This record gives sequence, structure tokens and C-alpha cells, in this order.
Amino acid sequence: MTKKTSRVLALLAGASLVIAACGGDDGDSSSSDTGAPATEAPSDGGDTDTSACGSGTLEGGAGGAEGEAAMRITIDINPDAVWQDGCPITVADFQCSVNATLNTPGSISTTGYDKIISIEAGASDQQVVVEFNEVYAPYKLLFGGLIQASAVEDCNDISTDFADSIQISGREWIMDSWSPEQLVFTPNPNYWGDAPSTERVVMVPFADFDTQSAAILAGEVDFIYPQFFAGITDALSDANITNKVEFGGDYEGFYFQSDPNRGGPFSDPIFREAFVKSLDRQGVFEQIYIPLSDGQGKLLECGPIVPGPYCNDSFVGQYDPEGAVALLEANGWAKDGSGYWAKDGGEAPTIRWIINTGNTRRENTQAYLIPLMQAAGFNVVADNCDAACYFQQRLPALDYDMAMYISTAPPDPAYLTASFACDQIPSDANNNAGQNSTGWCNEEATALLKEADITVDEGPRSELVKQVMDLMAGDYVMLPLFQFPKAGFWRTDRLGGPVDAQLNNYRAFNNFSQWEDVDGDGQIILGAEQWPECLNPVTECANSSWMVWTTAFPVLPNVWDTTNGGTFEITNLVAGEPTVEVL
Amino acid sequence: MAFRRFVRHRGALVSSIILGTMILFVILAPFTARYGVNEAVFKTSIENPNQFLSPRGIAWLGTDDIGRDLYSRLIYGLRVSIFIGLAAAFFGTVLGVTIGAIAGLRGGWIDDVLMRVTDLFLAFPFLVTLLVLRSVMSSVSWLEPFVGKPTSIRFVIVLFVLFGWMGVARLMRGQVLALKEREFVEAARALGAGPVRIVVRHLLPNAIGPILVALTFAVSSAIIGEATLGFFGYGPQPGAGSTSLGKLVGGAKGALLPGYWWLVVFPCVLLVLSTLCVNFIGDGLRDATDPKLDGTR
Amino acid sequence: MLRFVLRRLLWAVPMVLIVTFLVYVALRVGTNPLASYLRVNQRASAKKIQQYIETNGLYEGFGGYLRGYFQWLQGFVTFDWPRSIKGSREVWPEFRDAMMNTLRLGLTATGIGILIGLSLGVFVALKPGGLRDTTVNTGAFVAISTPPYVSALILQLVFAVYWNRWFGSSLLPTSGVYPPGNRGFDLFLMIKHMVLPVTVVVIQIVAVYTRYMRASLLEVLNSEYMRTARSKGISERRVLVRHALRNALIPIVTVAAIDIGAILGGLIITERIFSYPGLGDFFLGAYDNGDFPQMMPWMFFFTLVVIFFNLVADVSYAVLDPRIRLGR
Repeated sequence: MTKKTSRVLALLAGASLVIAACGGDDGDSSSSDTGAPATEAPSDGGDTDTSACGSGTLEGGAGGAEGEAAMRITIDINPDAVWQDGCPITVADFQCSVNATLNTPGSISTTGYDKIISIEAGASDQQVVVEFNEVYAPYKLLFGGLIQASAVEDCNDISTDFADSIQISGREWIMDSWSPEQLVFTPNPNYWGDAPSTERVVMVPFADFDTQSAAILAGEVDFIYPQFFAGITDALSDANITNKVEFGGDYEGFYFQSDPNRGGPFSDPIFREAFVKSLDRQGVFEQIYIPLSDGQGKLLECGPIVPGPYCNDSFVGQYDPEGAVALLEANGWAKDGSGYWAKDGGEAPTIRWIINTGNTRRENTQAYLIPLMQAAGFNVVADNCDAACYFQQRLPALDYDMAMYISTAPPDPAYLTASFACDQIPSDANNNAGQNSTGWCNEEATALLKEADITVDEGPRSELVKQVMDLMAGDYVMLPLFQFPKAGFWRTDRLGGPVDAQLNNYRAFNNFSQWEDVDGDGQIILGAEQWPECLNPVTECANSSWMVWTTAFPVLPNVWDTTNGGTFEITNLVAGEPTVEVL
Repeated sequence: MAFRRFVRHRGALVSSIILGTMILFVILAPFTARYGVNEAVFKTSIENPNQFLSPRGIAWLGTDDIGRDLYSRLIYGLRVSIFIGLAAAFFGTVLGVTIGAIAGLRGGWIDDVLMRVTDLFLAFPFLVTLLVLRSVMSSVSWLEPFVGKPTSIRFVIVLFVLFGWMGVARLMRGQVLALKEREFVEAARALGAGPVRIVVRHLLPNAIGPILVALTFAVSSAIIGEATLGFFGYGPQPGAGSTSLGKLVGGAKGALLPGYWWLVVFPCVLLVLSTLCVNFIGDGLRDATDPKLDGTR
Repeated sequence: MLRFVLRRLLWAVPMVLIVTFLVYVALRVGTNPLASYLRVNQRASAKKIQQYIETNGLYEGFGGYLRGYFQWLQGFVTFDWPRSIKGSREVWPEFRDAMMNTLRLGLTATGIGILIGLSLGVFVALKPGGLRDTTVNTGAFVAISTPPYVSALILQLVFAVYWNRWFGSSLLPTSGVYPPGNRGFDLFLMIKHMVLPVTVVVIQIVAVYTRYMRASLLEVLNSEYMRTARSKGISERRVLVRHALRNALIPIVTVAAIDIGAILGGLIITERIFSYPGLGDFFLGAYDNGDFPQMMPWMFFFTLVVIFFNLVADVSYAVLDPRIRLGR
């Protein structure tokens, strides 16, 4: 999974505590000291003296956005909801989580939280009242991955907390131990919902698919959730191994850097349109993606989004090589001596196509497509570098002409604003931290996106998003390719229960507390494709899907969880659907 | 004499023939390869996919994940690898001979420092040194015009040259130390020959045997080095235009378990075979040029 | 002799300092820790950044590097190691665990490998030129030309995956130190998990040492003084044990000490393939992240090891070979 993916994912994930630049970062000042630092060992359950639990609200509150309250959300915490130490989950924990996301120096994203004016206790310490300075439609992405206020020393900077262990829990599991070799979960004795059906869950990292598949074939692990590739089902053919393939929120696409201020061949809309019309997506799909989908996949036509309520199939039928030639010739382009299109006798533009080295699928795509595009008169060259250089330097700096990467579409389309609005193009105005790495600026689309973000009503909101997709297709700024399969493979002789129930969920295989340990060895062993370096839920550590799947989701409580069908539902953390008032 | 000894080394003889054939194939790649490096054997379709075909008439060694002919790709890959091997070994040897000669002739602190540095460089794990050098070379922006991008073939060659001169330097220094007191060198010096002339005209010809041997082994270690970097994902990425043994062997990883044995066996065999041949030739050369072995065989 | 050893020891101290300083510079340039910190902590305030620079000694310029180096060294020696950049975790506990794992793997493999290699070397050197010699020599050649990852993949395939297909359960595990989910220490399981990685490393070592021993012993056996010894009527066996073996081992001890780097290099590759949580895996992980605080202690430690073994090589050479000119 790519960095790009995980960044989007982390927004929703446990990490979503992330907030923005408001609260001035002066770490040492006025940190609300809520008493005892990290509770190390979980208590043995039973009744706990709640007087030792610290205050139910934080001194100084939380949030920091300016302005009039435009939206208010009232959340009633389930009175049974307690942390692993028996202390009730209160407003203080919400406040602390939001402050940590907003103010920790390494916080990866503060989107949404930066609109919070205040978080206060309502009728009791278990009623959370949040006021926003504008209507924020994707509010269900917020309040995930809550942390316990009394577990950290300073809610405004938790960068050194949770480095190698998350000792708090508001879900089924307690993290018994975590090391580079394995992660062990045991049931949380104070969990107020259904107890897990297994005594112990162990996760083990594997360096690559080879060792991972060898381990499941050898019966060393019970379940794996590998990235799909051609031949994977052959590789894992065994009478005791079964699998389920679903098509989730991961999609891959081509992106064309079209920022007029940065120049580049694709800043010319005519050239961009001709290029896109000359690119045979169906061919790419047949050569690269069909083997990848076990014959079940289809070409993605929606845009940077997956089929569902926001999809309009806007990208159908753009391949039109004759139209491209006609368009170029009508606009003063002609083929030069080496067969490449050049305008008004000038030099033929070179198109730098970047991917991360070592990604076989993308390298194969280049190998397949570059000769074809060159034959069509476009001088495309591979200009690749490693993943760190690609995702952390070149892409954010818009230092490319054509890119190819996977993104994850969360169930809420709010991510589109961050990735495609005009004011998100990296510039001095946003400290070059904008996330729009295509440089696409269409004022009309931006206005529609902003409106969608403040439209709480589902129907009108999806119409707005569909209009944006149409505009995007008309501007030829990207080409969707393929919705990726998500597959779980597990041994039926060792594992039972609803293993396949949540594989399409944004939260992946997180229902493992319901799985049954068929072989009776008292534990379920899951193989992990990636292993987090560290467990902090708001910093760069959380910028990885596997980190949130394996370490944050099983222990940190959310107000809303995603479902297998791509919707949101409240968890048992709250007593009922929170009330949302637009003021 | 030396040639006869070389020919008597059966391994070396056979290896020379095999390697010679390989090189011929590689040079004549446009004719010997049946398809282009990125050309699919036929256009794929859902009913008749071109991916992962086992060896057959249209693709003697099978096809890969996007329907390219493995046989042709092996030829193009070997071409890049042999080029890297030869270039790295040649420049590394030239650098090593120069440094070794300076150390040997000058002696004193230059010698001490050079040899200490050489010792250390050689003592560090090869992959670690390569990786650290690699990160330095790719971080210093003003080096880029000289060494190229970290994914380029030139970069890898420079990397291997920087890494590969030390063994030769040590060897050359030993040769110079052994030879410089000899009469013919003394005589040349007495006649007023400068150090460069002495090295080139007198020392080098006498040390040519061991240097040639070292050069041969440098070729094989550069080929293996490229493959190792490639296997772990740090290797050259020749881009869409070509491939290398490292990339082909690295690709074998994913093909093992689905049972696409041809994608595993052929690249690995070719890698082992080519380095083995080079090593055998080096061994033969050593026997042929080492006077101490006279008459023992 | 003592003077020679002392001289070498004195050499070693500035050597360590100079080399580790160079390593420090190389890593600082290569990984740029400040940039990594900023990438990970995008919301860090100017004050936090300044604080980070000072606690980690990331000053600029030659003087800055020198100052930073000594600041780092002081922290290193007092075990006040800077935290890793990603996730600001403590480095020492992980480093220590990795070191233990590597020592276990490395010592086992080296011990077995050298033992087999030397024996094979003697075995073939006694009858050079015959079928035995050719077979072993060719085998060693093939082994040297086979990179460890190739042998590792084949071993994994045969003993884990295909064994499972043929017999229903795999013979040997392919990764880690213990099976997933294991609790506590278990010698048998540990050994079982070490078999394949050890084999891969042993193959390399055997190949190298067989050839060393063969060449070295042949040279001794053909030398003047052996001929003399034989001509004096000393029995072949006695010649071999008393003189030849001893003399043949001299260069090998030296080579072995210098070779430590090559062995470690093989270990790194092997650990990676078998997901064995040792120093090699530690280094590659840190390298991929560009994590300076993790890489620097690793490099420092290895520099010490390498310089130490170089010293051992020099001294052992001097001790074992009386012909060496001392105090050059």
C-alpha cells in the first residue's frame, strides 16, 4: 500500500484526531495537567474507584477555531463505556484527543478538527458538546482513535507517548506486548460489549509475500490479508486455505500535473486532452489489471472515487486517437522529425512519467505504455525514484508530468476537497503544504466541493460530487484505472466464524474478536504485510494502513465506525446517534 | 606458456567458451533476441491472455507477467549486467592500480593511510558500504551531473568503482613493493626514468598477471553486486527501455510460489552461470600467470 | 612484540575516531536527519526545531559537524542515545535484542562453516588434482558464485513450501526466531528456526574456507622446508600435523579476522530474507527510513568490530608468523 493511500486513510483512521494549525504551538505553556501520567498496567477488572480517574473535563478545554458557532454536535457517551482501568470515558478524553491532534508537532492531519471552536461538557461529564465555526459535513470522520487523557502527560504534545506500546484501551482488546517480531492482544476485562471469542490474538510481520505465504501454507499463521497480485490464488492453493476477494476503496489512476504556474507540457489543456484521448485505458486494463483481479475486475470509470453513491461513470469512452490527432492539428501541432508532436515548429515536449522504483505493476505499466505513447507521437520517458523520493518529495512538489499511484477512497468524499481544490495547490499561501498534487484548478469544481463539504444532506451532496467528477473528466486531469481487490486468505482448519464479513471494510479485518479459534490452540495468528515503526496514533506513525489496522483500531474507541458496505455507524461508545444541529 | 596453462585448466576453458557465446549473443542482441525488450509475444485478450505462459514455441523460455518473452529479456538483461560488470571492473582496476602504485612507490604516510583505508573499506560488509555510499552519492546534489540519478546505470557503475578499487590497490602496492628493489627497476631509475614511466613500462607489465586476475573477479563481483542491489530493490532501474539481471532475478521472488518456475529458474541459472564462468576464467588466469604453480599440476 | 602490539593499539584509537567521524559525516549527508525530522514533524514550531537541533547536535559546517560528532559520541558512550526519528523510540533496547539474535546466528554459522570448510580444505589438499579435488573445488566455486538469496529461496521452497505440498506439513520454518505466537524461551524451536538461515550462511563460509585451506596447505606442502622435513624421513602424518597444518593456518587466521565483514554482509542478506530480527534487518529497516539515530550506533558498533578484528589479524599474523618484520 502506498504512502498516498495511507495518508488519506489515516485521516479517517484512529488517527483522525488530527487537527490544525490553530492552537499556537508553545508546548511548555499552559498544558493542562490532568494528574497521573500513563497508567502502565491494566487493572484486573472489577470495580475501580473512579475517584482516582482524574477530572472529567480538561482545564482549558479544547479546540481553538475562531468565529461564530455554525454547527453543534452533541454526543452522549454510553454510561457503561470505560477504559481498561475501569475509569469512565469522559469529555476530557475527547478534549485531550482533539488537542493532541491539533497541537502535536508531528500531527499528520488536522482536517476537520481545525474547525472546532470548543468542546465542553453538557449535562454531565459524559455528554460531549462540540461547536464548529462552519458546517462540516464529513463530521463522521472525526472522533476516532480517542486516547485517554490521564494516560498522557501533555495533551498538546503526545509525540513521545505511545512509541512502542498503547496501554490504553476502549475496545475488545488490550495490547499485551508489541515488538518488532510480534504483537499480542488479550481480551480487555473491562470492555462493556461482547467479550472476544478468543483468548489471544497474535500478529506477526512478514518481510515479503514469499515468507508470508510460506507461513500460511505451513500452518504457522491462520489468516493473511496480502496485497493482491497476479497469481496469488495459485500461490496459495491448498485444500485448507480459502479466500474471499472483494473490491474495496483502493483505486489506482494516472494523474497529469497541470498547474499553469508550474509550466510543464500538461499545463497546455489542448495537449493534455490529446494525450488522454490517445491513451488506451482498456489496453492497460487488459494487459496489467485483468490478471490482477482474478477475472472479476472492471475498468474504473468513476474518477478518483470508487463505485457507489458518488460515481457518475464520467470517464467512459475518452479514448479517441483520431480525435486527438485532429485536435492537435487544428491547434498548430505537427509531428517533428522523430515523430513527436511539437507546436508551431518548436521542440516536442518531453513527458516525465514518475513511479516508485521496485513496484513491478507500475514498472510493467510503463514498459507496456511508453512504446505505445511514443508511437502515438508523445515523448514519454520514465523518470522514477524510490518510494520516499516519489511520495515525500516529487509528488508534493508537483515535480512530474505524469504520475501513477493508488489512493484509498474513504466512505466519505471529503478527501476530494483536500486533493483537488484550487487553494490546496502547494503554494506560499498554504506553506507549500497543500495536498493538491495534480495542480488542477477549476474554480467551479472547487466551489462545488466546498459546498459539498457543508451539505449535510446525503442526496444533494452526492449530486454536487458527481458534478465535480464530470468537470474533472472534461478537464482531462486524471484517468481512473482500477479498483483494487482486497483479499483475505485463511486456513479453514484453524479459523472459523465471520472471517470474511469485513474484508471490504475500511477497517479491514477488524472484526477478529468474533472469529473462532477452530483448532483450539487458544490463539489466532494473523500475518501482517507491513509493520508499524511506532504506534503513536497522531504522528507519522499512523500514516500507514497497517498501523491503524493492527494497533490503533483494536484498542482505541471511535464514535463512528465504517461498515463493510462503505457507510458509517455509531459504535457502542455512544448511547445513541449524536445530534447534529446546524446553527 | 601461460596460454597453455590456461587451456589446461578445463573449467576455465569451458567457461571461456560459454561466456564467449553469451557475449556474442548479447552483442548481437537485435538478431539473437526474438522480441524487443518490452514487446509482448502477442496482444493480450481476455480469452487468450499472454501472461505467464510456460515455455513453448512462441516463447522458448516462457513469458512474464505482461506477456514479454523471457528469453529475449534475459539477453537484454545480461547485456546490461555484463556492461555494468566490465565497466565497473575496468575503471575500478585503473583507479586501484594508480592508487596502489602511488602507495607502493611513495611509501611513508601516504602508504600507511591508503592501506589503512583500504583495510577498513574491505572489512566492512559489502552491502552496508554500498548502501551508505549510495545514500551519500544521491544526497549531494552537485554530484548528480557526474554520477547520474540513483536509479541510473551510471550511478551503479560509479558506486562499484568507488567500492571496487581497493582490492586492486592493495595488490598493486604489494607488486610494486616486491618489484621496485629489483634490478631492472633500479636500472631504469638510474637511467633517469620518472615514476610514471617506471610504473607503466616496468612495473605494470610485470604485475599484469595478478591484476588481470583481480579484474576478472571484479567483473563477477560487480555482476553479483548489481543483482544483490536489484534483488533488494536498491539496484539500477534502467527505466522502460531495458532490464538487468538484478531486476530479472528480483522478479523471480514473486513467481516462485505461484509456480511460474521458468521465471525463477532461468534468471537464477543465468546469473549463477555467468558469474561462475567469469570466476572460473579468473581462476584459470591465476593458475596461468602464477609462476609458483609451475609443475605442480 | 609487545611494542608492535602497543603500536597497533595506539593506531587504533585515532583510527576509530577518524573513521567514525567520517561515517558520521557520510550518514549526516546521506540521510539528512533534520530534513527527516521536519518531514515527520511538519507542524513543529521554530522553537521545537531549534531544540531538536541542539539535543541532537545537528549543526552545520565542518566545525558544526565536529561539534555534533562529539556531542553524539558523548551521548553514545553514556547510553543517552537520541531517539529514532520515526516514532521517537528508544534505540538501544532494539539494537541490543537485534545484536543478540545476530550473535547467535552468526557465531553458530561461522563456527560450523569454518570447521567444515577447513576440514574439506585439508581433505582435498592431500590429493590435489584428483576427482575429489575437482569435485570439491568445483562445488566451492559454484557456491561462491551463488548469491545467498538464491540459495535461501531454494531452501525455503523445498523445506517449507514444497515439503508441505508433498508431505502435508513443512519441515522447517522460514522466518523469525520463534513460531508466531510463541511465549517464552524454547531451545528446540529456536534451533529449528535457525536451521535454514544458518545453512545459507554456512554454504558461503564453507565455500570460501575450503578454498583458502586448500590453497594455503598446498603452498605449505610444496614449500622448501616441507620437502626438507620429508627428506629427513619424518612421517607424512607427522609432517602434516606438526608443520604443514600449523603453517597453513597462519594466513587463514588473518584472513578469517579480516573476513568478518564478508560474513556479516552475508548475514545481513540472509536475515532479510528469513525475516530474522537481527542487526542486518535492523540496519536495512533504518536505511529504508533514513533514520540517522538508528543507523549511527549501528555504524559505530561495526566500525569498532571491524577495527578490532583488523587488529587481531595484524597481531595474530605477527604472533603466528615469526618471519614477519616487526616495527616496519
